[in-house]
Amino acid sequence: METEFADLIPLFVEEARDRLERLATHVPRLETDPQSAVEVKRELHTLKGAGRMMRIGALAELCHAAEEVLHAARPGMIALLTRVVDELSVLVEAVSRGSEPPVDPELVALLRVNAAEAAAPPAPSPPPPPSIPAPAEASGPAASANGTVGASEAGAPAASAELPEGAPAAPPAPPVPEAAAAPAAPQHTAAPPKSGTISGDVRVDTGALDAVAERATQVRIMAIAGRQVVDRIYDLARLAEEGLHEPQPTQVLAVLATMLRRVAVELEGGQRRLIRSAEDQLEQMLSLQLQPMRGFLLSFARYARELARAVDKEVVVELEGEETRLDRRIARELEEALLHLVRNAVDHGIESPEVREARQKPRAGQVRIQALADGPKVRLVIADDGGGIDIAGVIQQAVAVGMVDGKSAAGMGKAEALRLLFSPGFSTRHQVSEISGRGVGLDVVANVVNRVGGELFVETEARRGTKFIVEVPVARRGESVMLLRVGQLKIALPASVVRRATRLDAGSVVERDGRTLAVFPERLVPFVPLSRLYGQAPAERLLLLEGVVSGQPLALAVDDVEGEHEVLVRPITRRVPTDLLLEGVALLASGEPVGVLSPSVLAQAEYLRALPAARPQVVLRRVRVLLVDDSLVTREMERRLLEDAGFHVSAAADAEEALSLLAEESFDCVVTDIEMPRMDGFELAAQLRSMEHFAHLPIIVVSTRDRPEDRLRGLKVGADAYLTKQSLDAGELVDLVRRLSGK
Amino acid sequence: MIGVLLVDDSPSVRAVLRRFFAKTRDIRVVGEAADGAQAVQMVIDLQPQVVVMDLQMPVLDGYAATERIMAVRPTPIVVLTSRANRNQMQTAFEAMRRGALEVLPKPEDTPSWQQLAESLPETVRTVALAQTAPRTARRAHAVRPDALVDSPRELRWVAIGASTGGPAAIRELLDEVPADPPVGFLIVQHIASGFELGFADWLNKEFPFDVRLAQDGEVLRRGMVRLAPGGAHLRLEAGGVLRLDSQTPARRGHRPSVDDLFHSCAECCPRQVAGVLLTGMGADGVEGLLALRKAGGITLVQDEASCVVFGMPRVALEKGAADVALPPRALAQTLIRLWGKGGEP
Repeated sequence: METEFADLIPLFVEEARDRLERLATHVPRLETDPQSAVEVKRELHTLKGAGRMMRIGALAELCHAAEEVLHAARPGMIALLTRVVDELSVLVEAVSRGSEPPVDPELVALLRVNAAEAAAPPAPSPPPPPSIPAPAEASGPAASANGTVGASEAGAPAASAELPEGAPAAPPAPPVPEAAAAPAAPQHTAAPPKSGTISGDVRVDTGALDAVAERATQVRIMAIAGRQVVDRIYDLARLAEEGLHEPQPTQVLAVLATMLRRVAVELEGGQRRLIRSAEDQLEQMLSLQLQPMRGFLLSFARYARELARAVDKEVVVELEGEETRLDRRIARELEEALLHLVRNAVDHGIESPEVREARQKPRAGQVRIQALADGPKVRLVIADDGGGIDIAGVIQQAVAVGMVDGKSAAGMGKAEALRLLFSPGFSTRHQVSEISGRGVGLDVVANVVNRVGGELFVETEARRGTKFIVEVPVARRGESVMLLRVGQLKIALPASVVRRATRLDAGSVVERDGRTLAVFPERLVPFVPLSRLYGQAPAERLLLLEGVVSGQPLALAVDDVEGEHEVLVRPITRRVPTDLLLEGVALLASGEPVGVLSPSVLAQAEYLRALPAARPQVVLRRVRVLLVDDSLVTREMERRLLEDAGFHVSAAADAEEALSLLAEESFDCVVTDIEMPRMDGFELAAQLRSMEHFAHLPIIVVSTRDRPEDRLRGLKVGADAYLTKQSLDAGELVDLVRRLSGK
Repeated sequence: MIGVLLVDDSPSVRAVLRRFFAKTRDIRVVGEAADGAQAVQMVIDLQPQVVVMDLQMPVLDGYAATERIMAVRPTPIVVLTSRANRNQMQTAFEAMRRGALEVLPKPEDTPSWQQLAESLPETVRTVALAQTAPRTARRAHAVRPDALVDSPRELRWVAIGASTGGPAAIRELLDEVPADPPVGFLIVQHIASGFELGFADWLNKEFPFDVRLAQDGEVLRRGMVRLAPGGAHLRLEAGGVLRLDSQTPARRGHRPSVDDLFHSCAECCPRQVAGVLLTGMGADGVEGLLALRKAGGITLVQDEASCVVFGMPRVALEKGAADVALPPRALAQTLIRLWGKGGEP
């Protein structure tokens, strides 16, 4: 590779990945669909051309060798070309990392042997037509390899062990058998693939892109128009200031009110249009995020085959739903988890060829990977026809690690036993040590699936196989949460886990074996009284939420359900010790932050039992501000301003009212005017500072007075800050409140 | 400034091609198309001076795209194709018949890559000068051909030299020749090395004549058409014996050289040979044609109106090396009358 062209590598890699995807799609149909044969030929040829142009010799030569074999039209070609495509993928990924490893010489030799033989047919009788393999040929590798054995023995002994298997049995039905291949020779161990389509660059339809750009321009125009409204509000503010010196201030106020209302109406209309545009914009952006699953599935198939080669198994991979679209952010998050399921299927699901034969199954195991669109959901299925999960073994293990006692183990049903697989205790102690994996147990898979708002199911049958089903939403948008009230606390729960809410009567909760269970007409469900978890007094009105987490029912008691909200959930940075029950923080439309409970953590009975009865610290309390001003207009203005910032605001019309409020509730900050009847702001501040309880309560003075002596006096009596109304900057006030109240 | 449209379904290939032009000051890539249909549209929209096009493409291949481009907005086209495959080469020549002017090989290895990097800009410059639109002659160079025909002679061999635009012109000329002509043809066509064989294959399939690459020592008989293979000068010796010479260096940058062919004709048997110089850039063949004419041979050139590049024929006319300038078919008819004269008695 010349350095001069090094910057073109990403372009080439992107193109090559595309072509390899198409090759992987068409190679299995090579012998049945003439159009696929044409496509394979063309893709190989073009990839070769591109490789030569980029001067990546190894890749071009492998393509070339494959082309020659293609001209030869040999039986067993699908398996051979599948290997070529896999090898090319390895090469392309190497190129993307800036290196160019040599092509597997054995593979090239094998290709040459095949091509050469076709050029000079060994037998006097013409070779059998390659189109559809005869049943005998399809049944096993020995039969179909006939044609090539002789030459390999003579020429390349190493290659003979690698001779292609027969094409998969039946002509492909809609799900197309990818290939059959299982060499005896040791191969590079399969590394989990990084699929090109999920991370990095995305293909976007230019029409869709144009629409987004156009919409963005509209939003910008509307945003700019908002500036005019702001200017008018400033004008009104100036008018109000002048009105202070009028002999009849009430008249000024009346005029102001009318004008403000008009501005508000205008603002409201603009706001509505803006929201509509923003929503359209979001919708379009989301549709851009939806990408076909092709690359994703193909990389899994490739991985399954490589892994099979590495562990000496024979595997046929069937793909379905390459065109199914899924939000690439969801796909990206799921990738590791799904790879784990694929790895399990090949490594532990599928039996060795010998065992399979003994069980009268085809030597090659079948791994089916499907992406099925189902309305707003996508169902990802990873199924194998292997030995199935050993239910008795699972229960035994659970008892051994102390997750289940002997008594409940005896009565444990299949479904319940399978759920044990997803518990953290089980998989960390069992899966990782004994079964392959790289530390990712099924509990982690379940967690990841939950995190993207999906569900994980497993079906298994002894000797027939296992099927993992991952159901995820097709797109990730603002998440829907149920806003709950627990005592004084607001907290949210992902709406997807909530199935129904019912009133809780006295007899609905029972204690059994140290667990709290809710009694439903049909069964007992683990019960979590949130009020107790959060150290709040149990309220009189209890609502029971029945949810399902990882297929496991769960009931929560809360004081009230305040409705469903569309929110953006942000993950919590774990730098500071926070509430372990939370998986994130959601910002409500008002800007108020609320904690979002993690259903999977809640569901972990072990965790719940270990919890102390009361948890002292409340998670995310809003800053509470006491606002003191005798002018209703000023008060309401400042209240809006502070509430918009997410603060909880109580207002008092004079200092006395303020003092009585302070006696009843606790506040984090006081914002007060100076000129008030009876007791002014200076006196209020002085009095608060004299009381031990309020000695450190932050006080911010906001006044029309801006003479230096007033400022000085304010600070002298103990105010922490002094702002003037004339130049009141919303951001400054909010910052001050936040800073002084220490939040 | 020469505006070039790149047409290839591989973005990588386009990117590298773009680099080849990046170093030139006079060539600018004005657009890139990923298939033939896009290419046709972009030729209309962007009006490039030259199209550089792959042949194998989805949607509409290079051959079909050439046809359409020549129909909607005739533009000089350079086709790129693999020379490893004889079928592909046939398509390349079919494209040339439809109006593509040059064919260059897609690289197979480092030397051929280097060669393409060097020859592509040069080829683009050459074809940019080509006249692709149908037009009428601006200057009449034609002498009355009848005058030639009157002089009695025995015509046995026709030597043809051509460069850019040659394959289509040669094909047209041969198309006018009846089956089993009483003469043999020798052809030197400037073409990217490796494509001579494809050119011969193509002509052989088109015509009832025996068209092949010339072999050293072979005797050129009536009805045979022999092309100079790459890298060797083709010469005619007494009695129609063909000689290939890959030792003598290139003459004016060409091996095979048209000059060399015509000189050999002038030396061995001028009165039995007609020299024909067709479309192309430069002046290869002019000296040899002049020598042939002086020695008593008949010399013909392609006329301006039918030439893709009126280069070699123009210089020949200016130097007085040619008797007649005609379009390919008329050249063939003139030759037929000439050998008709000799063959009758």
